[in-house]
Amino acid sequence: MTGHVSSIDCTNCGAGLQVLGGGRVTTQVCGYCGARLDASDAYRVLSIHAGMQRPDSPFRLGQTGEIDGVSFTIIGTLGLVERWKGREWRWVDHILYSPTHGYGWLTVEDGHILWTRKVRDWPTGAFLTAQSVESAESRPTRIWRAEQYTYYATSAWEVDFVEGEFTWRPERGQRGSTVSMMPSGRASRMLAFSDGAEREVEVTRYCPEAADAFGVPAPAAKGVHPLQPYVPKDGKSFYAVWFAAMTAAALCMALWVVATSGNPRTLFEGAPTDLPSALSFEVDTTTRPVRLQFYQSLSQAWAEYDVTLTDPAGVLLADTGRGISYYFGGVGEDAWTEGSRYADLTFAPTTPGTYRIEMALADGEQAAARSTLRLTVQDGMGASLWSWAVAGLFAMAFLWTMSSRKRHSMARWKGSDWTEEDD
Amino acid sequence: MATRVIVMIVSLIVLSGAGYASWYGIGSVSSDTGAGSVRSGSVGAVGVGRVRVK
Repeated sequence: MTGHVSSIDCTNCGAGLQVLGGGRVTTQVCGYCGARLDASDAYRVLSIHAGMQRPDSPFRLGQTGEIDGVSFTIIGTLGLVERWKGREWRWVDHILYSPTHGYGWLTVEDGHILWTRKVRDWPTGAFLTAQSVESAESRPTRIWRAEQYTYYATSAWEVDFVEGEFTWRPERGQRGSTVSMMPSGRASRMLAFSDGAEREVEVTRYCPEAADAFGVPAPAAKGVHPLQPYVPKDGKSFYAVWFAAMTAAALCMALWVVATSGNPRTLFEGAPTDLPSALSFEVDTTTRPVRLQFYQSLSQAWAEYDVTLTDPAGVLLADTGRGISYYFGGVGEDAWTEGSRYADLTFAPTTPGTYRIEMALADGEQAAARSTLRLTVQDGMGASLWSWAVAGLFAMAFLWTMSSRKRHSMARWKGSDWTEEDD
Repeated sequence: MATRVIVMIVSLIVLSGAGYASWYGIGSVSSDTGAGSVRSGSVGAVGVGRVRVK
């Protein structure tokens, strides 16, 4: 404990209260009975706030700790709430006092700890109020200490709990508004135009070290605070390199599968009516599938083919059919197509040797009988789609890892209430 | 460190699986092919490059 410490008895309930706040304290609120006492008039009772619920904070009155090398003592606690459209946001402000450096604020908001000081060198331009923000046509900015601050949000707060010593007269239900601004770059400081009992400009920074400084357990922080600096997670570099390597490996694999597929060989090309009764082709290896591809240059027509495939031992591998149709119409943005000029039949070869395919036009429009049909065979077919898909998966993991700073920045500004209106 | 090892093992399993499936063409064989393939009726529609089972 530093500084001169004395105590009084609450003039309402008689409880012993510490007096820690220095000569500018005007009001003391008893933490036992909620009586507001006039520190400048023999602690006479101003009013009584009974039944206040203490907000959740690890800090307590009378605790002392060092911030930026200066020893401060917690002399007061304010519980604040903002309500909007049925939602509620709560935070706790602790007023701190140093005999040599005056007053400051320690805020606990969603488990994040912030340190606020009043500034005397106000930014250029008019004091920013909720009303001036409301009427602004573009997102307001201000220059402070050679740095540009951009509008972040307006908070319409209400005091919900009060305890300890204060340099003004806070009371439960007291309302005010605060307009906050931040530099658009990295998280550093927040500038706040506070419009309550009096107008003040304050600067706030992220201060998690205050928990250790005051010897209290650090509260569990929820989400990303607008002032929270970006700290890369452990292993970010490792994961980035690893997922990049996995992406490259999957891409190489996909290209290798494509490159090692056999060359397409044409078995037939001509009018479907000229198809021989049977066609044959050689298959050298059975480790990978073989694809038969049908192409016909149809326009506004369709055709269906009966297809029979047998292996070298005469075993029937397919007794099926394939349809080809291609229609189109419209112009420009209304252009459309339907169907495909291609069809295929991919099978797993059973044994090396000569395979036999019987194919005939089963049905179709007259134009189909005149359109050129081409039948090709390609062995050693893989399914590179698997490798492409996995490459995409690893690439996304890589991008997710590398975008952590950007995502952090977006999360910091997510709470901004500024929306650009469309004209 | 354990997380990194797990991520590495899972990644390699996924990569190996994709490599195997790609090389052997898993999933690319037409469903109406295979030893003993028989016709099983007709869908009666105009084919658009898809399998037509008669």
